[in-house]
Amino acid sequence: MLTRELMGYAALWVLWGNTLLVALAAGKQAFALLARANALRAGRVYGRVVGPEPIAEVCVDQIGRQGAGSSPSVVWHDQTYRSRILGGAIEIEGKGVARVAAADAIVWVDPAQVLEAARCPDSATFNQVHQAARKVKGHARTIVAEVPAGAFVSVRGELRGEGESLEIVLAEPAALFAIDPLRFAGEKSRIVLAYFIPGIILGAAICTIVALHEPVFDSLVSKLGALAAFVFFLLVLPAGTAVRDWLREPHERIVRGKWVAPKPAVNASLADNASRSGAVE
Amino acid sequence: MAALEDQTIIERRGDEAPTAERGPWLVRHPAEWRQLGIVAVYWGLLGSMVFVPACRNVAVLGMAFYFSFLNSVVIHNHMHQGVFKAKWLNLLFRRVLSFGALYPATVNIPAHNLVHHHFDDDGQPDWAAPDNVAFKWNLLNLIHFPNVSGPNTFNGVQRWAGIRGREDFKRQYLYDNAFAFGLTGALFLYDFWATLFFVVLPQLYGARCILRINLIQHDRCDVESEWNHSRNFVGRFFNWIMCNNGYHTIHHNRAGLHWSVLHQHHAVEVKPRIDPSLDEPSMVGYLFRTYLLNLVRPAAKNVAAAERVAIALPDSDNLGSRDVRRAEAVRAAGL
Repeated sequence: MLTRELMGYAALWVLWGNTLLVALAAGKQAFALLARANALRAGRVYGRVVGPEPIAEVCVDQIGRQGAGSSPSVVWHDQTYRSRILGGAIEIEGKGVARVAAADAIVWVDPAQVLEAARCPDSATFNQVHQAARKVKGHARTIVAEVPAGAFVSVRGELRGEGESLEIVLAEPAALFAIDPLRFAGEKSRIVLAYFIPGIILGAAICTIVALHEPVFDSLVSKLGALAAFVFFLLVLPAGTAVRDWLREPHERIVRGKWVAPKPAVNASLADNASRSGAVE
Repeated sequence: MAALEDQTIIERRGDEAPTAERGPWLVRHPAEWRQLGIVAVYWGLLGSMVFVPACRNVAVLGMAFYFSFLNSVVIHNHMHQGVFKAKWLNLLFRRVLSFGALYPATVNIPAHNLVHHHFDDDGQPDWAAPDNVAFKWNLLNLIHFPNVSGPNTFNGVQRWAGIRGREDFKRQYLYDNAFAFGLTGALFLYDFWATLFFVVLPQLYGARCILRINLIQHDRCDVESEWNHSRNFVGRFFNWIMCNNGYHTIHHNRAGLHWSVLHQHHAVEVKPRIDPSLDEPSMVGYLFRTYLLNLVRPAAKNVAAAERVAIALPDSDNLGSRDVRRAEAVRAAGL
């Protein structure tokens, strides 16, 4: 005979086993991101991009389809993530201007810059894209976030030559950063290691304590604890995958998004604001 | 080839119900009674544990866990080709199956039929791709896999449903959920603890096991290849109780085939084209060897080499492109 106590403890074991696996996977990925940033930051050359052309870009290929609902919208779906150094020059303090060759490369830019590039520019574009997105295959576009002239960057490579022949020979894998990679990885990892992992363990502990309230697996309080544990189990799993996606490296960051039709406004200024606020969800 | 020609009658589209004189009563194929039997036994096991305290023992609970997994196998088959001739019965059966797994069976249309069968979500990986897990200790990958693939799938389904023209899908999704959670909720009100331990735990076990199958059947296979993308389990009894779900390669490549004929097509079409290591005699043996005896994940092997050797087979041009097969899967699901 399987008693309530036996089954209750078994269920709690399932809850804890899976919570710890979610925590372990998140911790593993946070440390991997730190290690990756640490490895990529070695042997970098710092300088300012010399114009007029951008030196690198992050591209996200997307497919847009008409969204459901009464108000017109376009739902964007990521297809591929690409990044490359376009080639150009970087001014290095005290050394001069160094050339950088074009290459496929890891390019880390501020994620907010990619989101900005993904926004709907104006209502005319929205209408055009919305029509094109009616097709089953959808409407294809590429979001491009550039590293422009004047940006302060670091490039993985070795500085060679002098004067007019000064150049950065790219390391393998080639990488260009418009943000501090270690700071980026450090902030994300700290949130996961200091808040997310202890948070979900605390959540499981609270559910367990309440579920084990005397008389165990019999009282109303214990019942509420068991119900909370069940709900917690259903929530901690998507939380784990959300953290996994959030920890992705910036050049492969999930963008997706949704354009919503700008609402009719009473004047041009309001129309402009509406267009901006409704651009990307 | 003769065996294949004999079976063309069964390889019909999901929306083509057989005529009354050709087909059996109520169901599309006589073999469907096996699936209905599985679901009936599962409901019986759950009901007996809720209403008869004497049935709350290891044997009945163990059977309920196993039949919950089989219930998810039936969901898989039913969402490829409806069991019944009547559409309303098929929709009703979806609700019954959804209760058994505590997830809406309708989810299988985008998650399995459209995305998983082609290992591709508009250029992004399958929501249940083996790469979702990456522990060094392989057993943890098996345990953890549903924790990632489940939410991934539901996120993907939400995005898929957010596109215009999928209102009927959303309606069916809602009805499945309402029935599954409504009936489970009612049982909670009747007997909270018995429902939690003897209904919800089996429900979750089955749902999580069917997600794990994605890892078991595709890990260390080559999803880019035409024939070596899946691992097959060919044990006779296993496939009887699993409704031929061990023959996974042919199921992927010819989603329109009825499950009852997969073994014949596997022998003729798949076996000459796949690496012998992808034809496993026993799933239990494979699990034991891969996840218990082997601490680390097996190294990747160039399994696709086998199909390059066999590409000159007489019926090698018999298989439609992935796009053609995707369209076939959509038709078979009655979309």
